[in-house]
Amino acid sequence: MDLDTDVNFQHRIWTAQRIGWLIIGLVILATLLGMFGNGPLSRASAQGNGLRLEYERFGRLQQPTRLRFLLPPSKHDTEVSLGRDYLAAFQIDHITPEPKEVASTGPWLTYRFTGPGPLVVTFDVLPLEFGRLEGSAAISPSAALAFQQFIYP
Amino acid sequence: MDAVLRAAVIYGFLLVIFRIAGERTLASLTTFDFVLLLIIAEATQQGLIGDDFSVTKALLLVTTLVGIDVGLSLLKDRSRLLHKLIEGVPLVLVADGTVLADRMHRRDFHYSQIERAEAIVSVVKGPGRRIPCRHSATV
Repeated sequence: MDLDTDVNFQHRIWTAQRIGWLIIGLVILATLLGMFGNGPLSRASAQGNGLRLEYERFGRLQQPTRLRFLLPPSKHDTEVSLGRDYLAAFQIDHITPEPKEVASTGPWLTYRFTGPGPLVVTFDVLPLEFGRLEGSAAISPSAALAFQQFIYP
Repeated sequence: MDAVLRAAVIYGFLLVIFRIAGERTLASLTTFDFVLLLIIAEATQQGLIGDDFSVTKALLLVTTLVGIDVGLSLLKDRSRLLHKLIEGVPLVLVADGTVLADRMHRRDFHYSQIERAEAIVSVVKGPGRRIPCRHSATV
C-alpha cells in the first residue's frame, strides 16, 4: 500500500489537541468563576461620598445587567445622577422604585425618588454596545464615582 | 457562570434519558425518531440559551458541551464501570448458530436485522464454528 503517512505530523496534532483540551478546561473554569459575567469574578462595587454602587464587571451584549445603588439619607427627596455618555450604551428596562422625575443637567441624567432615604435603587439595563464602557455615578455632580464595565459581544 | 451550568444540566439529562430509552443505531432510526430528535433540539435550545443573544454565550455553550464530552471520554478510558454505564456492554445474540430469542426480544432486535448482518460478514453457521459475534450479531 502506498499511504502518505506522516507520523511526526500526527504527533504534533495530538500535542495540539492536548493543549486544546487544557484551554477548554480553563475556559470552563473561567466561565464558572464569572470571567464572562454572573460569577464571583464579575461582582464589583464602588463606594464614595456616601454613595455605594454594586455592579457587574463583565456583561454580554443584549443580556440584562443590574446596577444597584445604595443611596444615603437626605433632607428631601433622594437622587442619583448617571453620566449620559454611559447611559447612551444601554437601554433601561426597569428602575426600582420608579423615579418621581428625571432631569437632564449637562452631562448628567438625574433620577429623583420620593422620600428622604436611605434607599436602595436598582437599574436593570440592557447593553446595546460592546467593549469597554466607562460609567460615572454621583449624588452631587461635584463628586462622581467612576466605574468600568466590559461588555462581550 | 450560567452557561456552564445550563450546558452541564442539559448534557447530563440527555445522556440519562437516551440511555433509558435504549440504544438504537442511526440506520434503524424511523422517520418519527428523526422528527423527535429535531423537536428535542428545539426544546433544549431555550433552556440552553435563555434570553441571551450574545455570540459569547453561544461560544461558551459549545465549549462547555465539547469539554464535558472530552472529559467524559477520558474518564471512560480510566473507569470500566463508567464506560459500561454510559456506553452499555456488547451482547451476544447468536451463539453457535443458535439465535438467543429472549435476548433478541429484550434488545428489541429483529431476525431480519440478523439476516442483514449475516449477509455483510457471511456468518458461518453450524456446530463447532463460532460466529464472529464481535462484528455481526452484537448490538
